[in-house]
Amino acid sequence: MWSSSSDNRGLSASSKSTSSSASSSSHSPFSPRLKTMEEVWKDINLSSLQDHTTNNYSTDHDHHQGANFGGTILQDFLARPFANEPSPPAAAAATASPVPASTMLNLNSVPEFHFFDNPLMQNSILHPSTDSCQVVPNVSGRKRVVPEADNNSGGDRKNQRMIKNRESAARSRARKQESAIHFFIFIVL
Amino acid sequence: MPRDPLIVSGVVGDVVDPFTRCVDFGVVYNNRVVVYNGCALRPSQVVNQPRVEIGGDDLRTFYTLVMVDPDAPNPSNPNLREYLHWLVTDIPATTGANFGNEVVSYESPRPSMGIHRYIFVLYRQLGREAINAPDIIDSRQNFNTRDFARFHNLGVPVAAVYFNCNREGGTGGRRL
Repeated sequence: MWSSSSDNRGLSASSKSTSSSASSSSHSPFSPRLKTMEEVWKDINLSSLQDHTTNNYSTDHDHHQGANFGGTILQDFLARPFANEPSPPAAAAATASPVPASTMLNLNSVPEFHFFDNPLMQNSILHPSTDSCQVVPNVSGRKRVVPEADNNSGGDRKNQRMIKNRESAARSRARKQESAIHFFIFIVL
Repeated sequence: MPRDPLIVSGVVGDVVDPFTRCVDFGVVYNNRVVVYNGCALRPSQVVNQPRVEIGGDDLRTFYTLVMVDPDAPNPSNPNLREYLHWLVTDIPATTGANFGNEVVSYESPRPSMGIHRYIFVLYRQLGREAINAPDIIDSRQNFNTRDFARFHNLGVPVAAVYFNCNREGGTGGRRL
């Protein structure tokens, strides 16, 4: 079965992998995202690292193999300041709220485009490449991207409520204190 | 030495400035219920105006009585502070509010939300008819006792007393 399709590495790659597909074909259900990812990887490979003969690999290999080979590529890529690579962060950042620059430069964290993509896709990318890339998948990275608008208004309301509760408690204590004062006066006098 | 209830409750601060009591002053509802600072009265007890007795010794000294609610409509949100319930001027010493000039008639407290303070403040007038017209008191809401006293040269209060009152069936709970 596999031998018959072994000539066409693109097809075999797409049938082998679970959710990733060949670079040019779009068979997987996540193709729109995947195409973007593919473009991103292509941009990384083509534009940033010219000594590696990655062109052949990026077009022929499937996605996770590209990531495997690009383990060093990934780390090299991450080692570079992201300011020099406007296109890949731009493609990913367009879909998400701003992430602080410190996380972008952190080698131990997943590159920012992993935060905003489909989580299934995230797993597929990272799973075969964890040993080579030494990149720790940071699923909790989503927490950082929580939009602040809703939280702030909820927080303000909560704060208001808390302040009003405290004022009410202070008034209650004052009333209680006064009754104690009168009791004291009554007892003494 | 326990602190003055007028300070503890915030009456001094919210409504008046610190003062020294120098005139005897008594407020009694229904001939039975004596108002002392911080006592809790029900709206049914304070429907009718109380009997106000003023000390002193000289009938030629006149006093002004102000009754306000600084917690209107809700102590947590007193945006109608202060609500004027009663204003009587030209009260001769040693007499009562009946002998004075009722500028603003007594309105029964009807707190709907929270526990309100109802404060009686007594000022000594410089002379008789020092407060001429019921000037510009077109609304009981957002009355300012301090400004009123300053405007009519009443100076600092000579006496004050307050009581707490909430809705007959309970404070009405919290409403956002």
